[in-house]
Amino acid sequence: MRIEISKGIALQSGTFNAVIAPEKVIITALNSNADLQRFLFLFVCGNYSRILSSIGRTSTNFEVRRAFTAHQLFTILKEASHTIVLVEHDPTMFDGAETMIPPVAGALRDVGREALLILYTPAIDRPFSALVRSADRIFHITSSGDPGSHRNRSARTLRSGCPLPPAQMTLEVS
Amino acid sequence: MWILDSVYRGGVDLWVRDRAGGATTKVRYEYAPPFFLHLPDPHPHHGMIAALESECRAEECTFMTIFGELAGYKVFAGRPVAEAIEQQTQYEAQLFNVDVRIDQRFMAERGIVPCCTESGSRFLPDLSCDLRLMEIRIHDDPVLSSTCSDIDVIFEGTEHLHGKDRDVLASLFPLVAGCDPDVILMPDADTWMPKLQRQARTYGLDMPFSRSGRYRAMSARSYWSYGRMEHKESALIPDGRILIDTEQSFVYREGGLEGVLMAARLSGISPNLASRFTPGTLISSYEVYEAVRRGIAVPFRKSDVEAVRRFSELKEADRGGMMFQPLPGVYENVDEIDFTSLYPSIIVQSNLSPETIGHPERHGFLPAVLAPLLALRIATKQMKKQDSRYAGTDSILKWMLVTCFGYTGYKNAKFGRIEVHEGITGRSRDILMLTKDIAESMGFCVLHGIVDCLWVQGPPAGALKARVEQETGLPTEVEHFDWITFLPQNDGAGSYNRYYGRMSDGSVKVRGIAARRHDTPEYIRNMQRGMLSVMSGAATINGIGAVKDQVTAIYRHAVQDLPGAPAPDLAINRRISRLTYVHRCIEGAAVNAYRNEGVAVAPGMKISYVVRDARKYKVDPVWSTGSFDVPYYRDLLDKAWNEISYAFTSGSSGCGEAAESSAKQKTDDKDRCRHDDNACPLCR
Amino acid sequence: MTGRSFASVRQGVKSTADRWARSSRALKKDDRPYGERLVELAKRHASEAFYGCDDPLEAAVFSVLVELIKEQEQAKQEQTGRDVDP
Repeated sequence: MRIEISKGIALQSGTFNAVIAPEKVIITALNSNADLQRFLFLFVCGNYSRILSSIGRTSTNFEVRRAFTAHQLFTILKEASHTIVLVEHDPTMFDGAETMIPPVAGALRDVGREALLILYTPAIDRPFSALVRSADRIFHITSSGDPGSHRNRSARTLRSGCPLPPAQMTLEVS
Repeated sequence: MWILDSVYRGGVDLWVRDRAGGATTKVRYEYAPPFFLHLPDPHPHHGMIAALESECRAEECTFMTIFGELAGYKVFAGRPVAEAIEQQTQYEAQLFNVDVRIDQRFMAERGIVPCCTESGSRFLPDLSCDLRLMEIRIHDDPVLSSTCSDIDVIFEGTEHLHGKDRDVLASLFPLVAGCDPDVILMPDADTWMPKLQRQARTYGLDMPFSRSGRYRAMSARSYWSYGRMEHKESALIPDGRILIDTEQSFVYREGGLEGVLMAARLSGISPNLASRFTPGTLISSYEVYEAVRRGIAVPFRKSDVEAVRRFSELKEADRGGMMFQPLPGVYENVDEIDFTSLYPSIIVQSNLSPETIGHPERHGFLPAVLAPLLALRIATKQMKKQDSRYAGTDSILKWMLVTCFGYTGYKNAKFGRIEVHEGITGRSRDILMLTKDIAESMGFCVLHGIVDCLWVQGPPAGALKARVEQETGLPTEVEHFDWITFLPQNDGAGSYNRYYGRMSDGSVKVRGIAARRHDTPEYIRNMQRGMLSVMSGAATINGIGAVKDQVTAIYRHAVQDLPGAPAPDLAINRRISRLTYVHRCIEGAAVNAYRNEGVAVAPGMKISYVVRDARKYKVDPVWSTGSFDVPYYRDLLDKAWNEISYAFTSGSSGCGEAAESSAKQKTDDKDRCRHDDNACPLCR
Repeated sequence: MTGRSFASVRQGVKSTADRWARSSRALKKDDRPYGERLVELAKRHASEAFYGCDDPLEAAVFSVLVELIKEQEQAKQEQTGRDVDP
């Protein structure tokens, strides 16, 4: 099974994919992708989600589970048995709970073995960087616009955010 | 025994006060309780279990949780071992009673609490105690100064101590030791104590505050509470004597000494700690105490996850309280009907608890535990009307109940589940709706409603109150307004939480406007207060119109006197939530100004500043202010004036009539306010 | 209230109304006041609509339709009143 989340970007099942992209991109992918409706899809987020409110009323088939603490996120990942799992990264999740990053990273890796796992964030931060160390692929999608500006923007994100782990395949798509 | 303080120092020390003689003695108990471990699948962890049994003394046992009995082990070891078990079992292990305060646990297992006689029930509102009370007021600036040169000590009379730091302390310490108070009230105690300790060491003096000579430290930290950053100063807490930082303590500010003692009694926590807790931590502690008292194990980690749900189900469930938007305007003869402690009442009435989700036949832990607290609050709310001595207790109870299940507080609550919260808000919407239906069927017009209260206009409200209480089964309070003004938002639609009005006793109730907001400068607050004071003399809308000139004159004087006003009167007080700002702004400039003067700032701290030049983001801390940006403050003044002048332009409103006047008003307001909806602190 | 996972319906209606306000500006000059009126009607009953609807667009449309029906009925009553009076 493969899912196309953006023009030219197709994700395979049995992979752990990290996606850094503007919210619009992921929201469009969720709203307009008929394939997503057909499969058992789990959306995981923290207390506050940037994406949930923008999901259209027709795409209501999927399931949601929220994690309010890092331990809960760990439990949710352990119990996930869906074909597609999308985790919206919560930057505050690991405040005061940095020790949970390795077990959660491990749980993400385990989920990615069977399912199509996407860990999504609009901007990279330290916990995210640590979590995606064992990702199979990292996709950095910038929004379309003037070629000059979005080149700069993606470079800025990499500089101001945290550096991506070096040994990963990084794809920059505009 | 009447327990004044409790400390765990390898054993539990209870400081017991002898009611007869007034002396306090320390009683020590050896106590080393175990934590509980449950492994859903113990087989892979045999090695670890064997190691625990041999090295830490671990025994097989069964124990109770709110969901039922679990089989596992009791392990006689501390938190580090528990955390190691977590790691080793890759977080499969479920651990209990790991982070319960040991002195609290000791007391809970024996059914005793601080600040209460053994025979008395701790759910009685009476606090009879004759503690020896001392006030220590240090007049030096706690933020800027590291030495004390000017102190007032109040204990059966006032002693003034001033002079050199060393001499002052050399006088203070023997005074405290000699008087030997049970309670010391000291503004900014937590800021001063580390400094006093440092100075005492420098001068070779013995600090007498602790009756054992030893102190506990609570470190300074910033934390999220109720949607904003709070800041706790580091504290040095004495043994055997209560030291209350009257400036920093929310519990003391809201409830006085009675509030602190009641909070301690209910939560099973020493008053020294209780005075430094937020209401959220107090109610959590109360729940933990109750759990231990009932032999229920307290989970270590909050891993009780919500069930998987369909997107559409979650969307429907994830809603807050019901609100009815008002039509802006001024209304006469309005009644406000309020449900007392609505959310806790719903928990109790509807038996909502984590373990009753899907099992309504079970008797829920949360309802059982909250019921006596609720009953006590309902009692004190009535009692305080006759006797103001109960006001402090009532206030603390109110706050504990209000925070007992907050959505954001949920993150730290030991016994909470989001579905319970959703059940509560769902039921609250139905209750407000039912109330509206009853009101309308009885000939009332519903003007406005927010979650747990409704404003209605119509016949006398006594019959409405009776019927609502009968049909909902919940207690209510009714307040009568001779007149009330509901303010508009920028777009002309009614504001949900900005109103002011005159009650039938002539007092003014105010919400959301400048006079009530914490960050309003004193100068502007005084202007608005003066205006409201004049308007409170009017019992009708015509009466308000009659004082229009008088009130307008107050505005004109305020404008005239503004340029010559003392700069400190224009200080804006804000609690900062962050240290770095994305965009350049006044608050960011204020944080930098503090830093430039060498004052440490942390998120959650209160800062006070005056704007010198708004366009150039020049800001001064309140203690070194000179000039101020007159146009900037004139703007704030005008906003505050607009909130009041609206009442004069709006004309009388009944149900449905307000629509016309509000539409007209919309254009006027739009022209007056130039600020962006969200950026302006006085616009909503 | 902070802490919600979904934006409140009221906020959602406000976003919808803001979009309709922008669209109204693109209308012909004579039509613009009607667009502005529509925006006002959409917000009028947003809070109440929230009781039954969790979708902001649905709440906005509900609000507008209720007001339109109200106006229609009021106009009818006035018309009937005028017809009856000689």
